[in-house]
Amino acid sequence: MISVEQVTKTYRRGRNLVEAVRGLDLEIPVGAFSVIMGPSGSGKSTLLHLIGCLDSPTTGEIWFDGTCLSQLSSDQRAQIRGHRMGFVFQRFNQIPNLSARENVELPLLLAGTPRWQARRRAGDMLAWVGLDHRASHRPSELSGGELQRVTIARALANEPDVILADEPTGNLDATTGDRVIDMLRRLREEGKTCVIVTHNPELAGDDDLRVFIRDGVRVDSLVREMQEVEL
Amino acid sequence: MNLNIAALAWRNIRTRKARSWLTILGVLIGATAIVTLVAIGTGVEQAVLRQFRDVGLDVVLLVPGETTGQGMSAPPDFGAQISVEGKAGGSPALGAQSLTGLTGSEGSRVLDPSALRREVPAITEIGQVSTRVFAVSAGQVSGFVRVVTPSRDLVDGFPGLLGGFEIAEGHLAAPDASSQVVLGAGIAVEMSAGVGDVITVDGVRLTVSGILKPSVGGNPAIGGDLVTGQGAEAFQSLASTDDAVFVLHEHSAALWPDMTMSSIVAVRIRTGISVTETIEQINGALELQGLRMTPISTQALADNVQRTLGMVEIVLVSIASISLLVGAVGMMNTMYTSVLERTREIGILKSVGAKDRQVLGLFLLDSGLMGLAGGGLGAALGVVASFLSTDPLGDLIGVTTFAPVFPAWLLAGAVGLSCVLGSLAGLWPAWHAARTDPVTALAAE
Repeated sequence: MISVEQVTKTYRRGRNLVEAVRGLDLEIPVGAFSVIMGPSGSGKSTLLHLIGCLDSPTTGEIWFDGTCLSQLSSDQRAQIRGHRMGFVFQRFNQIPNLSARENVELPLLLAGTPRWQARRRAGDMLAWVGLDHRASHRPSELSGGELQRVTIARALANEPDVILADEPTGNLDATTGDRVIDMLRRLREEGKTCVIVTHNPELAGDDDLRVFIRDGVRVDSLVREMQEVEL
Repeated sequence: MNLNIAALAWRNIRTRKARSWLTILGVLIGATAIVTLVAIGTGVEQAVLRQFRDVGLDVVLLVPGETTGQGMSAPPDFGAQISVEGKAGGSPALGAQSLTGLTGSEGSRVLDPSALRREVPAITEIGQVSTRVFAVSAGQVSGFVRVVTPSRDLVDGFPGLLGGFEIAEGHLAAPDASSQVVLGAGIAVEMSAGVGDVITVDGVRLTVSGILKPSVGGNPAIGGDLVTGQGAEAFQSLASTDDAVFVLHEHSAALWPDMTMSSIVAVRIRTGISVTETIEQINGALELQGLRMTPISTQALADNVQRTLGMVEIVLVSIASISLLVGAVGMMNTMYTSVLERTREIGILKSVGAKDRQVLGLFLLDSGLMGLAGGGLGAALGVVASFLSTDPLGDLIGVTTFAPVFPAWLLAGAVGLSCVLGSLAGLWPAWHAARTDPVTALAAE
């Protein structure tokens, strides 16, 4: 269970202070497939970074499984990123001079997994995303869809509880994008909580937890009203 | 976990081959310079000190005349001047010139060895030697040659002074055989004279009774060009035996009665007795005899050489250390550039769970490994360079019989220092990397 309570995030851009998130509340139950939607610059990516321990809120608290994330040390947050969360990025973020398998091994090695075990686990994960035959290829030799599947394999390597995906289909064509989303949906069956940030409302299904953000605040009710009007 | 970080760091060095090697090269040059300079410096020092030890560190020479602390003027070139067909080279006036130009007004007074021995009980052995340049001829060959007249005591007790004085063929003149001469190896060849041949020295016919072995490495003047002043020339010219002929002091007075010979006196001081104090006693005794001679101890000359070489070595190693430091700054530059280039990579590492200290360790290991490689290769190259430069350098400084010395501390120190400097150079960039904010890093291009 992830609980976001009155969170604000202010950062400095040049001389200006930018309020990316302004007093936001959100609850994501365990095993939920949640889709956070909003136009670009709405603060949805910032929210994902805050939930994912990549960043700390300026004010407010984020609770994850009974732990207040904003009170953790840098090391403890790294620990949570490595063991409890898995990230899927729009830009894939593979390390270019490592092969696909080595990229998947990375979180395992950083977590202290023995090398032989990390290698086997990385192989299993690549097989799960259907890329075991591309394991020794460098990121530059892989297509966008393949890269995103490697990213998913890497995100799953340490068996995290939560998968956080920031515009996972942003750099993919529609068909490949759908495949990636299907793959993420399959994770729900394994009890993983998914948080997906996108500006594309079509990604969200009726059963998903849908969150709309604009200018750093939730506008769910507004959007619902608009949708009802459209209907 | 640390092993995994090391594997990642190593993989990074390998994938950035060109730049890693260039960075390593910077450190390598410094390490090579340090190892080479120290190895050669130590080698030269040991060779020179060995020469002094061969003479004996308990030996004090009493050189005629007074030196002023700045040492004596350089000796004239007493090398054999041989010409064929009886045409003598050089002026006949040379014939009366003494080795160090020290026949002063006191030249007529001769030291009484037994009196000196009585007055300075710390003296265990005493011998004397003088050197002249005489016209020498053998058959068709003639020229001016250094004639050394050591006393039997000197030959027996201080052979090290005369470059070992090892006889290759024949023997030293017998006590009753006053007209016998021993030839230096070089002279014997130039005059094509053998044992039993007769040569003429300043008009006196002498029979060759023995020929010396050649000096090792040609002509090993003690200390080469490194030792000057304070009577060092006396040691140096005595030590080179190849171009000289030898007549026993005991016979020379009878052979050339009208010549006053100003002698260099060598004394050996009892073990455990202070050389400085004994020299004071000797000075007192000389004053009593009314002689003006300057005592020069081997120990003092050796100390002098050691001090001079030590200073030269410190300067050279300081310069070499600067080059190592420059290498380290180059590495800092490489590492900092690398951190900037890999900002996004650092963000990725952090997003998959890398702790700050793991990122720090990754970059520190990167620079430390490069330092280690530079130091290791530099030390190896330094060993090769030392051996390669031994011959040309030896000729240059006049010390031909030295070999570079590689103490374990030198090699270990060069490698260790390079590794430590490499790590230190990487410290700030690595700290910078570890502190990078993951969100900003992930947004980097």
